[in-house]
Amino acid sequence: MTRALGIYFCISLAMLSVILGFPFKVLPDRQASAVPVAAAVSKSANDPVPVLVAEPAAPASAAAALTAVLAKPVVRGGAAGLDEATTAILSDLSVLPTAAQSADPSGLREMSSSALTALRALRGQPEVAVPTLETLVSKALREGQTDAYINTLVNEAAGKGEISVPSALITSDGRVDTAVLLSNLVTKAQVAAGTLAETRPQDVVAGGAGVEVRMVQKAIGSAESHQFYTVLAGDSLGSIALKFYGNVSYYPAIFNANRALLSSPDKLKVGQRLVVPSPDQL
Amino acid sequence: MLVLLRGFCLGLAGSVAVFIGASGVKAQAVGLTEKMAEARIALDGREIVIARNQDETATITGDFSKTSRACPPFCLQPIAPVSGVDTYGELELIGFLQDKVAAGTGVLIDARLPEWFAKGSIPAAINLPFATLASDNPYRNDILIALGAKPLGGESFDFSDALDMLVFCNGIWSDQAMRALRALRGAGYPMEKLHYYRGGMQDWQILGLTVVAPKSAAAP
Repeated sequence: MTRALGIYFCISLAMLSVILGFPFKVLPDRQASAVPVAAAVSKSANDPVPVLVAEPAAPASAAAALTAVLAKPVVRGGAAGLDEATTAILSDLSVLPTAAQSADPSGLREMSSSALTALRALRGQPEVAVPTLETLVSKALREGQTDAYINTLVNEAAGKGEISVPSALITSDGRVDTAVLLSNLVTKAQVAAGTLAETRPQDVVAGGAGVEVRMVQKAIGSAESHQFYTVLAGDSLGSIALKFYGNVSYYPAIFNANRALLSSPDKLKVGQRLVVPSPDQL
Repeated sequence: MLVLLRGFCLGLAGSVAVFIGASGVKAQAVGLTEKMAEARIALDGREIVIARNQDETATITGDFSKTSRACPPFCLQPIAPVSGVDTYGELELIGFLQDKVAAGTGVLIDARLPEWFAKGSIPAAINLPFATLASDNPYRNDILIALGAKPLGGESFDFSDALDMLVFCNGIWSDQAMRALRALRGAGYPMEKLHYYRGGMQDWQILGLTVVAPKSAAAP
């Protein structure tokens, strides 16, 4: 368990490439474009992305600049979740073997990508593929960029309203929680590679600031534990799911248990006290 | 009615119209209206021509010659499937290209799936399949932004500078344009910016109007 947690929280990209058995930097373009479903996307990943900053600014200063642009990033609606984004990025990186089936079963991603490119051209902008969260991250990973660089890159684009992000990634201070996204990438890649079984939420014991566990006596000799969590600055629903269940994919359970407080997963605010369902309620 | 139409109806050789020579040899016998032989629209430095097949013996062949597709799913469409959205015919569509699309304030949307779009569409149309506008598409809000909606954060948008949209599909027997329009309404797109070409590809081709195979769709 300690080992599993260690892996979750150690989300360095070097580690990701070791796990996957190749460094992203030397991933040949041909290999990427060999995945048919990623044709439109890998094309964009190989093109220069105009929003890339030459010198990545420190995340703190970027955050200050962003608040002037857009108070909160554009989020994706309804069921558009984190796992879809993760799957799409991993298939961009040719990590998932059956990308055509798993990453874009409905063809939505490819259709959207073509439509975005055509609409952009219509508005007099150059006919290059429009960046999405997925193309930005997979391109940066392939270039071997650091976590901090990816954080700045994504938050800058999201702050300008250029990309939308899953609502579970929105932090209590209105930023994009790229650490949770990268963590989910590592986990899913490991599971795909067979080096890690999915963590069972039962095996995770959450601790630290904001965590509150209450034992309630049910009957003689049996007690039920109730977990609560007080939202801190920088938390996202994804990071809270990671903290309590070891897997961001369980964030809908926390969201559903707190619908009275949260009208959508991106409405997290510092100081909110959330009910966290116990793992056997998932 | 059918007998009357037969004299005027011009189909296409195959599903994609190709005009070579005919109009250059003699004056056009098959115009758009009494006063308009064809429409020429300057778009992005290229010129789009909308004209009719000059072969007066042409008839509909291929996909669009069918009369009896199963319903459901291929059912008859009302004139105004989404209240508040006005319905256009062919001449209004050409007017929309001249007034809105040429000025950069409007877009002609083919709401069909890419494999249909690739076989041929109306000149200047952009393929925005109806499914991409549904709220469960992760990229739906990116598309709204590309349509000119100003993001206000979260799922809020200011649509005041968003493009006017004229949406069509295969036409009178297809609900795809209607689904696109309903999804746009659900996303908060202003009704007065939405328009519906009900005839779609079916009526467009019955009239022998120009159909182009999009170059972007042919590339991959």
